[in-house]
Amino acid sequence: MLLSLRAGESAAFDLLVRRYKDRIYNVLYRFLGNHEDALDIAQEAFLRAHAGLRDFDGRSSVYTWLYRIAANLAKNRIRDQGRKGRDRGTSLEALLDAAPGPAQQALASVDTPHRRALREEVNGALEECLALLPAPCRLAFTLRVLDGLAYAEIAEVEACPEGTVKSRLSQARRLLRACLEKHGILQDHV
Amino acid sequence: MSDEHGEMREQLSAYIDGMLEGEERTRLEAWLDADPAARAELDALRRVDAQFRGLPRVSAPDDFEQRLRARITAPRLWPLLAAAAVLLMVAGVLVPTLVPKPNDEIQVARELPKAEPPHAPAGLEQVFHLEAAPAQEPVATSGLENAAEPARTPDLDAGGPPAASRSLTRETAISSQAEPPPPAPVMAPPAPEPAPAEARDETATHVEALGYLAGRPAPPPIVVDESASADGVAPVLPAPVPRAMPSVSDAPEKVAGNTAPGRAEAGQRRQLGSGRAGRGFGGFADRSEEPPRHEERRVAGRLFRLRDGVWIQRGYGSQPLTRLERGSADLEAVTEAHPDVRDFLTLEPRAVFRAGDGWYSVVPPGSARLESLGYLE
Repeated sequence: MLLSLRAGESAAFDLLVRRYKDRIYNVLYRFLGNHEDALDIAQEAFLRAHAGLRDFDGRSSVYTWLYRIAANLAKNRIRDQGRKGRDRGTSLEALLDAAPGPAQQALASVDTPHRRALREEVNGALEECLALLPAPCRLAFTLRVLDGLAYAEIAEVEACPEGTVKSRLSQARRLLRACLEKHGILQDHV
Repeated sequence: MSDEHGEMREQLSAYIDGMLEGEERTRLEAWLDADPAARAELDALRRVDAQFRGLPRVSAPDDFEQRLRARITAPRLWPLLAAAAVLLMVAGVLVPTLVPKPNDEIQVARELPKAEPPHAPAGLEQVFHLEAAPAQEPVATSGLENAAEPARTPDLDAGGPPAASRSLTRETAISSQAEPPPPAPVMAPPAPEPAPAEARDETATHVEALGYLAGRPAPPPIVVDESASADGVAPVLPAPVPRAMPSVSDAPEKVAGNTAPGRAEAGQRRQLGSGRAGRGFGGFADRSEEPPRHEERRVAGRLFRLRDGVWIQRGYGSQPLTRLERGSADLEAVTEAHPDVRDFLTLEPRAVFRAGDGWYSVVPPGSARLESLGYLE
């Protein structure tokens, strides 16, 4: 496939897109927190991949190379949004200091008619906690837990040592645990 | 907690991922066996992963590949469009200059007859002064050449000799005009400006160029301003880009960062049965649509998203709403029972939130029900 890609065969590129677009999109959506940015960055990542295929040296696998392009674009997007004051307005610490959220109250009375709304609320809390993680931790956690990449692959995507990936994941899980407990959605019965 | 346990606690994450081996793993497992708190912490971290793995996977829109293909193929058209634009601009500059005006009364001024074009069009007299120009230097006479190299301002002062040894002066003498016409702007081909090195990576320039043909605003044409140069080299200025202004009629629906459709459109979607009902908050079920853009705000620890002019608390599905008008006694009563509601009232003009066990909508006095206006689906 790599040879076909580097030879500029459009069918090979189409295959690459079909194979990875949903995975890339899902990771970007969870990392960036909205569809608009996820779509924009995913498209741009594939565009850049298409333009740079001939220069791809093949030292990494195609998909980690693709993930790396997408991850860099996504990190730039977050950085730019932070400069424009569009970053998320609540810190993790502020959230942890806040009163228990509605999910905690709702969990006490789970019933069928409200199950869907409850699930949405829990998902919302999960997204909220994820969004409050520092970007490097969020990216590592998303790639590991939501996309199943190995430590070595994440290190390749993030261009950092495996030890850094390990510590980022540890920090991410610790912070997420605290955040979810604050929302009351980490009980055994959930 | 000892330092050793603190260190092992850091290893729990790697243990979950199966990244511990040998002695490290043995030591950690011994600690887990001996310390119920450590075991509880491990379980909690595993539940964190399980919760997030339970999140629904989102897929790229159905037209993802189609959009991508359009963006990839777009640059092939770009040079053609640019060339066509340049030709049109050149024609726009040259045609008015070269077309003869039969009714004009012409005064011929021949200062250097040898430089006069042998077949100058009747009605127009152009006298070219070639002063010490190298014999092999071509005389720039077309807009294309002007575009290819820095444009030079014609010396309109016929009496004064040019300072540069390689200069071209043009004198146009038309008796019906006391003053020479104002110089027409020359349009250069819209070549992208090189970005600063630090702002570019890999194929940034290429992609920036692609983006213009994929639904983004077209780049401003590059205008060469002949009049603003002191040294004869015209600066390249981007032309102002006209900004689309929302019409007065849809102004109330336009909110910064939100492209939510208007009420009528929302109602129409419902009539057409686009399947958005019950899709849930922030859904993206209809892949044929543009992904929704939401403005979000957090109030009193709750997340609200602006949708069709209504701030809706995350988690709202299709629960019945108790309607509260701003300033009403009912609203006051709810506010007294649930002080948080006072914060939600800052979400204007309309908001949907939960207080206690119920869901409420707060609307301006005299407004119709949100549901009847198509605000909520």
